[in-house]
Amino acid sequence: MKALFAFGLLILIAFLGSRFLTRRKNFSPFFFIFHTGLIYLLLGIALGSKGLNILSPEVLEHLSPLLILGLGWVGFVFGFQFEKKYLQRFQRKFISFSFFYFLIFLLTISGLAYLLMSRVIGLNLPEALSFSFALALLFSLTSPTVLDVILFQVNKKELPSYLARFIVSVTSFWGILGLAFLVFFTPHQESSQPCFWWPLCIFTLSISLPILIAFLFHRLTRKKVSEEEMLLFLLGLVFLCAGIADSLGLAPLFPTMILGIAYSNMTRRQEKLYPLLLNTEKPMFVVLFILVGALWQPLFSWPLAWVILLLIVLKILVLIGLISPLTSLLHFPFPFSPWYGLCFLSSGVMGVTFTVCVYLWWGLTLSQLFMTLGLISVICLDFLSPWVLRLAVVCNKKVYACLDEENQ
Amino acid sequence: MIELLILLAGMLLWRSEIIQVSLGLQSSLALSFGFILLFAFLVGQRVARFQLPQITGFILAGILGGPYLLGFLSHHDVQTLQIFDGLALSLIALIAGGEMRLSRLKQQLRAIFHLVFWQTFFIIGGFIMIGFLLPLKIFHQQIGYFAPLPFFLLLGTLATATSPSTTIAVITETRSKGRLTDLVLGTAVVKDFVVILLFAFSLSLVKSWVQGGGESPGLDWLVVFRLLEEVGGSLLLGVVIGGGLVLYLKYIQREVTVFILSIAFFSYEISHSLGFHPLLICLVAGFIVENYSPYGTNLIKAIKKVALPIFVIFFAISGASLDMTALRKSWLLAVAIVLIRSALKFLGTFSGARLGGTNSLMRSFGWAGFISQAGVTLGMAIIIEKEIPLWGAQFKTLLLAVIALNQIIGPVLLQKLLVRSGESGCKEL
Repeated sequence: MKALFAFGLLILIAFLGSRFLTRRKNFSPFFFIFHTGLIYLLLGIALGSKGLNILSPEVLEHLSPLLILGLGWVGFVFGFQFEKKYLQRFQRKFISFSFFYFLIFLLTISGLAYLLMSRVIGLNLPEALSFSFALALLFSLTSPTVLDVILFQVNKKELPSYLARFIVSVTSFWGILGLAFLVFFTPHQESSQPCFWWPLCIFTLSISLPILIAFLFHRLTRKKVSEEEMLLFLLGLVFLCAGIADSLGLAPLFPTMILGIAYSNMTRRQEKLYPLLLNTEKPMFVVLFILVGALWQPLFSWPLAWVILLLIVLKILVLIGLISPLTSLLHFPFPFSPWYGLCFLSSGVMGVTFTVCVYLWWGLTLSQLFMTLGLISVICLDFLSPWVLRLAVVCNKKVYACLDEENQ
Repeated sequence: MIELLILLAGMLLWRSEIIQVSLGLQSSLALSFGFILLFAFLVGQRVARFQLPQITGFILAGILGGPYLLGFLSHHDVQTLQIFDGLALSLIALIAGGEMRLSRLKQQLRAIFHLVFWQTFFIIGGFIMIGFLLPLKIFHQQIGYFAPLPFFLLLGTLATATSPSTTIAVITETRSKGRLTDLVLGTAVVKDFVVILLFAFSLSLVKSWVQGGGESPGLDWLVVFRLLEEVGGSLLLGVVIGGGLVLYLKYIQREVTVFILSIAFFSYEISHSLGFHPLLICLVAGFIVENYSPYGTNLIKAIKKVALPIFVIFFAISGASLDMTALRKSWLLAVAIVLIRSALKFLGTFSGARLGGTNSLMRSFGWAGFISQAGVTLGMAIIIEKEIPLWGAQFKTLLLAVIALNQIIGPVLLQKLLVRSGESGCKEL
């Protein structure tokens, strides 16, 4: 009964939350924390075992399908944008940019994170290695939510903003792929199977099964289906795919992303599905955040705060330093102000989803520590994003003004 | 069909021992949920092609995939997924209330009264008579020794019940509208409350009878007051929630579906905490919106947006929770009870329809609209098991088998009746 009450409460909060989020058109930077929904993580903590205990561990167990659905939904929505036709509108160099960006992040952040984990937190070698890779992947994730609102506010419709939005929205692909590789190929999996072929087999399964499910989805929605039926198929198939991943002991993020990619490239019903996804994603994300908040048992310490601060500073530095060499290396058609790299600062929903997936499925030791580190970093980055993004947009404007003057 | 086969074959393969062991698979509730949602819906679609209600397909899919046959859903899964029962019941009741027009109901009050009265009279009276007339050997072989009067009094009371949720779901699915539809729905709903009241009285009598060794049966007045409190409280709460819904639909109007979902959950939760009747609360709330505001259509439209997955899961889970072991164990006796009940339903409906002045179709075939049985009867059987340890458990087993049969044939018969009356519209949800 308590689970039912908690479920009802979740829906009500999700409704109020999504309503609140959609009502405000003119945000102060402080309200971005509401817009990205991260405030609901804190609400989740208040409702969880450390707070009111409405979302107690037993209730959370009952609501676990909802959590899995939420994670799967994020993966599906993310993957669904990778439609070939849409990607073909952009030159390959933009995808290359996102890949190089990811690679540089992986190297720099994992290097620093390794040092911090072994020296400041005092983890042993294998633990510190796993941690640092997972953290680097987490810090490489990007979310376009804050960027969208800033661009909407400053009314930016020029090409660089459009491209920045595209790159920000696709970059997380590499992080999710990295998570999949890490989960499959690190020795954390309790398995007696051979250490390379076995993970490869599971990896293949986690790609082929979602493609099969996408085919099924495509066949089911080939004929004319009502909106209600579409919602049913969508719910059923995302549940099925996420459930298969759960059954294999994998995070649902990667397989459902593959499902989204495969389905968006098979179907011709994108126009029908997009409004449905948009209508359902707001309450779905709020429920997800509350459940994640309830799962989270924050651990606070000064060394941890220092680690987070240093990682955030490094991320900002890399972002600022990265943009000019990369754009000139890839021969971008127009210059970007170095500040434009800050478009990549926020990781929002993706960051939260990734952290939970690592927490629940990777089997990392000290997973609550990772959860604390990850979620606090995500919240801080999203809190900082609106301020620095405005700065980035203004600086880029100045660069354009100078260029115009030079041209004249 | 191919999709259904792919899904079934895939799940059979996934659940096969070789795959389970070689891949080291863990059980996943999300997987079971996703599978049963799709499987039940696809079976429902197939079944609809044979002029049967989709609900029968959902229930059959639940039985097939449930713990007693293919085992895609374990008992634990079924229990956990019953979290959706409350939501579905409340939504179904809101739809039912929203479909009830006061002006139409007023014209049929006399007929509803007669139908409820004569069905109750014939079924309870008929089962008590059977208890005295028939040799009880066959019952004693299965259930053990029992005194006939209390046993058949309870059996008759429970046999009177019809499932309003199934009735509403079939009406919604067939998009039926008209006098006969209103009459069947109104009678099912009113009868539900009459049966709950009667059950409380009968149980109170039977308990004192059994405990007193068959002497001086008495009435527990506390139970009676509790019942009145339950009905009164439910009506009042329903009015409050209905009023709240009207205000919301008038002044806010945004995200109506999500708001209704949360209201449905809260109604169910509050009703449980206070011991009220969730079906009555939401029925009254829907009735208020339909009859005392211009927003009835908005309410129904908003619910129907999300109703499909919830209905599918609700009926699939109710199918999965039907006890097939009980059916296997006492199917012969269960079939006999189902046939006797149907015959008595016919007599009751015929007399009620004749005295209530309804048309000849209701007189001849109206009984077919009152066969389905589900949650309320099941709940009562569980109470009997707890309250009467002497033969309660065996009684429950027998009743589970009866419910399983009635729930399979009930929706089919109701759909046939609605089609025959010419009041059914499009046969899709």
